[in-house]
Amino acid sequence: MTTTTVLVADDHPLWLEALSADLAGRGFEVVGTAADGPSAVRRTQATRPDVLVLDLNLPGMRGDEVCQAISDLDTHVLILSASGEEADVLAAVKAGAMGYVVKSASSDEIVEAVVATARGEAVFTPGLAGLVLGEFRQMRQQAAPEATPVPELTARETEILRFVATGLTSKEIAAQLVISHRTVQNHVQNILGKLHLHNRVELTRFAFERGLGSVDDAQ
Amino acid sequence: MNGSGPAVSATRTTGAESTSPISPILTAFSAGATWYRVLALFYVFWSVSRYSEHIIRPWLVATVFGVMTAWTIFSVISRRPSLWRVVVEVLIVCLGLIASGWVYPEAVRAGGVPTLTGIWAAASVLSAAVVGGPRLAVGAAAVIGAVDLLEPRINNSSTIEAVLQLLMVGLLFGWAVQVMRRLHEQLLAAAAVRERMAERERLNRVVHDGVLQTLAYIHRRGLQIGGEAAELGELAAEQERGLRALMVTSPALDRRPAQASGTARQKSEQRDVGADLMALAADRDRVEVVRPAGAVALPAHEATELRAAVAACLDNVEVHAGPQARAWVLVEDLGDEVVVTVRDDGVGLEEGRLAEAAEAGRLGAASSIRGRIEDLGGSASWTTTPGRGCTVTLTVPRPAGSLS
Repeated sequence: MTTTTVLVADDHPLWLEALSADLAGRGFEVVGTAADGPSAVRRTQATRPDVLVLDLNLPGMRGDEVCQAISDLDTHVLILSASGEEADVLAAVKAGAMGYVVKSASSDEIVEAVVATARGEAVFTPGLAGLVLGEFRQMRQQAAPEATPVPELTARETEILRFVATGLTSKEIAAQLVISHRTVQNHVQNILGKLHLHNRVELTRFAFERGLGSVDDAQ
Repeated sequence: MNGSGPAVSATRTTGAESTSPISPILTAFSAGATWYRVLALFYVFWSVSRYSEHIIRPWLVATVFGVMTAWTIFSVISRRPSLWRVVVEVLIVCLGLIASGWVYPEAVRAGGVPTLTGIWAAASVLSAAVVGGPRLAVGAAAVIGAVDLLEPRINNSSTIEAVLQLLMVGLLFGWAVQVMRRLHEQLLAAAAVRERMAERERLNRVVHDGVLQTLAYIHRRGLQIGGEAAELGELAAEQERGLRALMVTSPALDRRPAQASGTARQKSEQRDVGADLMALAADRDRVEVVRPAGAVALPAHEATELRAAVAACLDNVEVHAGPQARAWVLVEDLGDEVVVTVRDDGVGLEEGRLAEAAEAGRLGAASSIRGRIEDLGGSASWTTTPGRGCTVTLTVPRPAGSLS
């Protein structure tokens, strides 16, 4: 197995250093660091890492703008945030981020999250699960009949999201529902996929309404 | 508190600067005076032309009209009211008035003739009002009036009325300018306050983010170093949790005003269940509150009861679930009902123990939880597995008409 490449973007120098050192110590190859949004985008485009560990509050660009700007790359984005500004986290996840970890999580938890993100698994905190649950419900409530169809969660997906939101790990969920850990992960990824898809559809619609013609222009 | 002093006065200064010569309102008043001056000029031409056969010094009329026309054109081209312009214009008016005494023969004058400045004179009073408010306007009107009254060659029976009208125009227009100027200043001050609040909020976020980040870093390094440093790290982690909880609890219902809209009365009685529970959990160590991005609004009574029920649930967790147990509180808004799930990962209970405990009278807390929720027309249910904690689901219907 080849080494996982990681780019770390954080405007806090001590934190950036500590996190890079931690990741390097666990066998990741840290291909670069960035201290602001625009350089995070540029360096991610230049180095195409497996994972971008992105601080939500970088100077220069919002977290969701960074995610949007690199959404055409294969790089998976893991959001790190100190303040856990809920709306900002949700915006970044809708814009394509695969997961979210609070900075107060232990070093092990963060490394684990990076490993999972590199594998393409969605990393949900209970808080993020609650936000996503709320987002799908709000989409359904606000859906106008003539608008684009709103993606809905299946009963199983809702059930799993509620378990995540009340602090169960995916292993615990698998045990509770008597399904495999892999199946739980698939469900979680589907949920994220629906959210991303909806976001792209909305963006396209927005672009057409404004006469921009193509999604690329909106980015 | 002292720190805010200089900031306030600084904003005042900029506010005054932007009001000074050309705030939008003064510009509008000034434009009014300018166009009045143009129209008045044509009126004066017309009214004097009716007496053209009596005029004995055409060159004097031409000179006065030439100066007036030049001044009018100048004021249209360059619209910056200022004190020197008011003085010059009042001077032109006075000289024009005096000249008026020399352009008609005495016999015609006795019957009453239009002056060369006529209603054009009022333009200077309007300009004075824009520049200096009612005082300067009345002053200008008084000077012109004095010339009018004291020069016997132009003084006739209707002069006193004209002078009074000029004074009235000065007073009213000056007063209006003054009122509008004050309103505009208040508007600017209010905008400055809003801007300052937004800026402070933004700074707060930046500072908080930095502080939280540093606390998280201290926690992390402390744990790595171990020993006393680990204790420091724990302290930092505790502060971080406290600060984070404080940050997300402060703005109560303004998070999604669209959802919580309704009549003003109903809105004022709504509470955000998410923020309430966040505040409740803020001083509990191992509790995480999970909620949607927007406010979950319930009428105050329902929200208070729900909060009390959740508090009882969390107390139960603390007492029965074991020292290591963590708890999660999930808030969900299903539209017609609000669901709060309290789950812990504690020791749990054997199936049937709930009933036993109730019989033994040890389920006081649980029955009070159920009682509160059922009083609201909702339901409370428990599920538990030994070793896998306990989950309490509280469902509260949203009273009809309390939203939208």
